[in-house]
Amino acid sequence: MITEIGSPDFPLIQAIKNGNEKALGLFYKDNFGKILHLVLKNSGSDDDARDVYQDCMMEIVLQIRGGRLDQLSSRLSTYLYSVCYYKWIDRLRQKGKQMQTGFDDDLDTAVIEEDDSPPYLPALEKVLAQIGEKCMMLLKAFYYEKLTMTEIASKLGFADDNSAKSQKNKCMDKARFLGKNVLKQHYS
Amino acid sequence: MENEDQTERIDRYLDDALTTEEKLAFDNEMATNPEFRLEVEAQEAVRELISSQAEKEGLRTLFATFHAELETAAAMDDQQHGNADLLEKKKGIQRKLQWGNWSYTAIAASVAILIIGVWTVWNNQKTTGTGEPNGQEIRVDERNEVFRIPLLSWKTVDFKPVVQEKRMIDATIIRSKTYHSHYRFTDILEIYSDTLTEKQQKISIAYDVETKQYRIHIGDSSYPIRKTDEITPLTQP
Repeated sequence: MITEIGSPDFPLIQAIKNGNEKALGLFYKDNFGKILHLVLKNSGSDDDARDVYQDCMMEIVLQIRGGRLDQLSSRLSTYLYSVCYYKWIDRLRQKGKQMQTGFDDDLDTAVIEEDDSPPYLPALEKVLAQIGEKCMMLLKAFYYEKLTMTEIASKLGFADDNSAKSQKNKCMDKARFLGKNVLKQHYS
Repeated sequence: MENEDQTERIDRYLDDALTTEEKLAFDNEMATNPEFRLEVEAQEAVRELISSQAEKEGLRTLFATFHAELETAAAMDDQQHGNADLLEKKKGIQRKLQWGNWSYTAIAASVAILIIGVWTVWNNQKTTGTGEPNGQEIRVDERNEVFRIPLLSWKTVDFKPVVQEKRMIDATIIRSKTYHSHYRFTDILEIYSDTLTEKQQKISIAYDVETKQYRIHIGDSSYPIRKTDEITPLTQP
């Protein structure tokens, strides 16, 4: 495509890596049409296209943030198309259908990064649901949002920061216990 | 649960916040006590999973916003270019095809045959080679003779092509005994080809704002074209 001639995508990758939402938004909007076209041509609907596109976009953004695409040799849009293409093939296979049309030659150059997430992750994800929604919110506020105990107490309605802290530790104890069992099973 | 201190101690280890002495004792305990080591690994895995889930949740919200903006922009674009305008254009094309001279009647018949051909092929789910360089399908709207292709206007900024405008134009593929690999380009694009019938082909037009030149992309091939009311061969320079 004419929009893909020119310099490599290093600045774009760095912008996305640094949390530049404008760059990510432009990248998202620029490339959806191609995936929509691909999915519609191959037994899919608008909703299928959106779902598969957001899944592969998620994968790519996480790879960028993890520094795994710093040395990407192909265009980022080409890479995105490849990831979406294979994801859509997988979904068609699950539905017992086949891909009817191929994709551009330049996609041959896009080497897809392998998923290096730990194999026990799905099991851990499943058991972690047992700690309950409030515990998950609490742990998320503390470990991801990095809120202080005072902020957490105010946000989640605890009497004071000590109560919040005590509840956070209980939640983590429970989660760690469940996680330990998953790991034990994985190692055995 | 019994281990509030343990949770905080492991957190401080994972955050690299233990003193040298504390860390030494911690490492020693991990080396000698496999159960404790597992506790540390489990807490680390839980922390990572929670952060990863939260990050994904944030991205999903962001993507939903982008998608909504995309749909709003598309709806506004439709409005701007006017559905009425589009319908009028299509009606005009249909009028030309219906009430024109004999050649247009023949063209309409050819397009109808083409649509039936494509429908049959899709229905049978066969993929037959077309003889075209990359063997893809041509896009044909089953309901009428017209389909739409993107026209991208662009110019070079910092040695890089930057799209200035994207709009859709009407196009039709015509089977003709007289013309092969020809085109006529006015408000609509007519492509004369008797081979592009069975597999889909990505077609678009690029317009270089600076040189004022049009170029049609059909799959991997591209040809310079110009606005013309005459049926003109598609040739490489």
